[in-house]
Amino acid sequence: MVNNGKPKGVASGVDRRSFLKATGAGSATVALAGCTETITGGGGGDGGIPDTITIGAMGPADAPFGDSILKSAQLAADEMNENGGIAGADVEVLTRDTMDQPSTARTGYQELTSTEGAHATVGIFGSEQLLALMPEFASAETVHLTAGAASTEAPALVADDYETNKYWFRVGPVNSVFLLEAMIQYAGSQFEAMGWETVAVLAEDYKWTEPITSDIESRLVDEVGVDVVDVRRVASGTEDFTPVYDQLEASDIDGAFTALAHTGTNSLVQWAQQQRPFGYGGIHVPTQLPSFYSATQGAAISTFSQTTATPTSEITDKTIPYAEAFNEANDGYPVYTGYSAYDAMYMLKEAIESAESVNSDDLVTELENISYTGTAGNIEFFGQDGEFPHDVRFGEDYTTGVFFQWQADSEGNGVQEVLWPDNLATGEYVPAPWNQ
Amino acid sequence: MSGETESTMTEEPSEDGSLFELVDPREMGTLQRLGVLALLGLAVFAPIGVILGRELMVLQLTGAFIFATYVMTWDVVSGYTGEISFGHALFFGVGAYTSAIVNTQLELSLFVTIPIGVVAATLAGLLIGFPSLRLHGPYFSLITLVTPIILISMLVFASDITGGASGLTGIDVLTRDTIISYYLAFGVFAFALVLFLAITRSDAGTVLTAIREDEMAVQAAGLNPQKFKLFAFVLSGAVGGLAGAIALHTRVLGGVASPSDLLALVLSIEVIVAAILGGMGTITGAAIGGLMFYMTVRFLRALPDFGVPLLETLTGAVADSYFLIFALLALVFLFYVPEGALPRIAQYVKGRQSRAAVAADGGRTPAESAIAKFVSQLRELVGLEGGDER
Repeated sequence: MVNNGKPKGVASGVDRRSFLKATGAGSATVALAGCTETITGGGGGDGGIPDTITIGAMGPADAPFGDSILKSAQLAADEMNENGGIAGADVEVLTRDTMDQPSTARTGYQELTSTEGAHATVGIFGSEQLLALMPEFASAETVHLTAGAASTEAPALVADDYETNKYWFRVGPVNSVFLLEAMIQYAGSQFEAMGWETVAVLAEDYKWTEPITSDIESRLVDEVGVDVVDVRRVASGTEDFTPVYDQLEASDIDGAFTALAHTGTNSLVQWAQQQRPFGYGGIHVPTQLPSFYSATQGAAISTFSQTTATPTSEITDKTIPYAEAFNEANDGYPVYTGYSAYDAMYMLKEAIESAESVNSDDLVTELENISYTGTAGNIEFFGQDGEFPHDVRFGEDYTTGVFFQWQADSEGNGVQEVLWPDNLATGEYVPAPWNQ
Repeated sequence: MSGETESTMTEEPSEDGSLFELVDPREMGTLQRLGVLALLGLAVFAPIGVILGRELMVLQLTGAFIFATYVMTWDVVSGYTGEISFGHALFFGVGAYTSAIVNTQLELSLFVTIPIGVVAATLAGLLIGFPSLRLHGPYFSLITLVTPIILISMLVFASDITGGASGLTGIDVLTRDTIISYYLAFGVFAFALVLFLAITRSDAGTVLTAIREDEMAVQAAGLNPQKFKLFAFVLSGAVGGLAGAIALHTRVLGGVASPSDLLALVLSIEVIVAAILGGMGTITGAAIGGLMFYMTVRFLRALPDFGVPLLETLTGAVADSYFLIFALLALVFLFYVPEGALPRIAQYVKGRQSRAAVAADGGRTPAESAIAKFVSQLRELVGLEGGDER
């Protein structure tokens, strides 16, 4: 109950102004001060080639997954600008940190498309942020190429309402359904040699693992011919894996086949510290980090994981040069999202040059028909009527990713050796030191 | 489409004299007139903003109206009764998620599901309100703190219908249009503002304030404080649920319900911070605090890179740690400006002390009373003699 009294004379000008500052009118002034750029027509150009092509890159800047996206987009733009840009236009990359928060991602995206007039965006790591942005891609009518998040929700939205959601594409990673496919193919090819006859599946209870755990047991039994003692979905936020490992050890398994991202680090470090008598690997996002071996002081030894690419895997003749160029520019190798973000930039270049326009609808048509050999393989998207509209295709002719294992070289440094597919393999599976 | 939704949002003044008094400019002081002017300015801003190419600002203000409504719903309970709720996001989440789940599972129209969401949030208000009758201070705050966390766990557990931690998609929206979304959010904001002002300026508001100052005295006066508290919770839940549902089904959230946007602890805390900065127990202060907080956070995040390494580090740090800055600012306010920004400004403008009408204790500010109440209850809990409220 602030001021239910009558006014006592007229307030002086200064006071009135100071009050105005505290009202809605003031908030408008504050926010207006934030908008200093002129509007260059909303996101998604309306055709033709402008003098400068603006591409937005988004990711959690403080996490390696986001950092690799932002730096790879910039790397690609620098390379393009040295070689005539895109269709003669300069390329400008603007980055926004999502902080892994949907609200921050939303604000950043709105700035990119409405204030900065971005013609397209790349990036995003994390399903929650991607799903929160799906309505924004539709409102901005601007092409977005995703370079993280494996959720199948996004292509489902394109299938449900193509006209609204057609601006979304995913360059990588392959979605969860295909991650399962990769796990089964790997198991069929390698488990026998690895001596994995009895396994347990260890997945974290997040949405992205659901397509994996729903079918993995029957497929491992039927197609690979191994015993599956348990398909364990570990609660999100689990920090102590000891009881789980006790049970797995009691059932005498040869290996734990994983689907872990958010809870992966604790799970891996405890498995190594407790020297559990079974192998460990499958899909494990933290162990994909090129710096993970040294960060865990070698605990990652012998763990293996599927990933889009590694700095030493020659998936195409672009893979290693990109990883080296990234290392040159940033003093460290990229993680999987970087390969996809880099490929996304060059796919945009190809689409814009082919359409001779930055018009979003033209770009959608171009991208639907594109076949681009990038760092991660031959990248093509499912069409409007495909199984996963606008998602990246999986398979030998397209992109499968690789399975690698952390091994120690002669100097004791960790190396990501490729185990699968066979044509890219640089080594063979080696059990953990305490299991040899 | 827009016409229909607008009509559900109009503020029909009830046949209540106090409400007419409230919106009659002749009855107002300078400050209220300014406030009404500001409201009118906001009411016509959207089309002008879009024409001027300031669509981003229109979008952000739309979000700010929803957030300011959240802050008011917290203020009407905690700012007035002194029972501090640390989990007010529960109401926004229940309202939005209920509407979303009914809409996706039963495929009912939003004109049915939004009211269902509001009813569910009202029930949540009852659910939280009942313990507050028996438990006080820290105990009650703990309950409010864990309830949204329990709900998030339940969402993850039933992720096939709730979307779990990554969010629920495929929800219908009332509109994807920026301007219509703006007016829907503005309608909710204005409706909540007028409703809460009318209630808190009525006798009920006086009783609620008295509960904060001295619950015993209220009982001694032959009034039942429990009834009034429950009423405040139910009202807060209903309006909070409405705001959450409107946010979800317009461009603010664009039809994607995610725990981070609707239930996260950080949202509950932001609401409290904004209310403290604007002025606890004032409604208008909460509304303005909410608008300012929301817009300032976005302004900080959008600070341009000046190309100067040191400055860049600084602005980057400010953008990254906005929450820390605001939390510290709230602490500073609690010490030096406990009544909040708006009442302090009002004092300057009026050139005299402007205190709450009910001052049982030598005219403490709402924040001071609420904290004193909390502390004395904490002292009772840990076995120290209560009663000394300093």
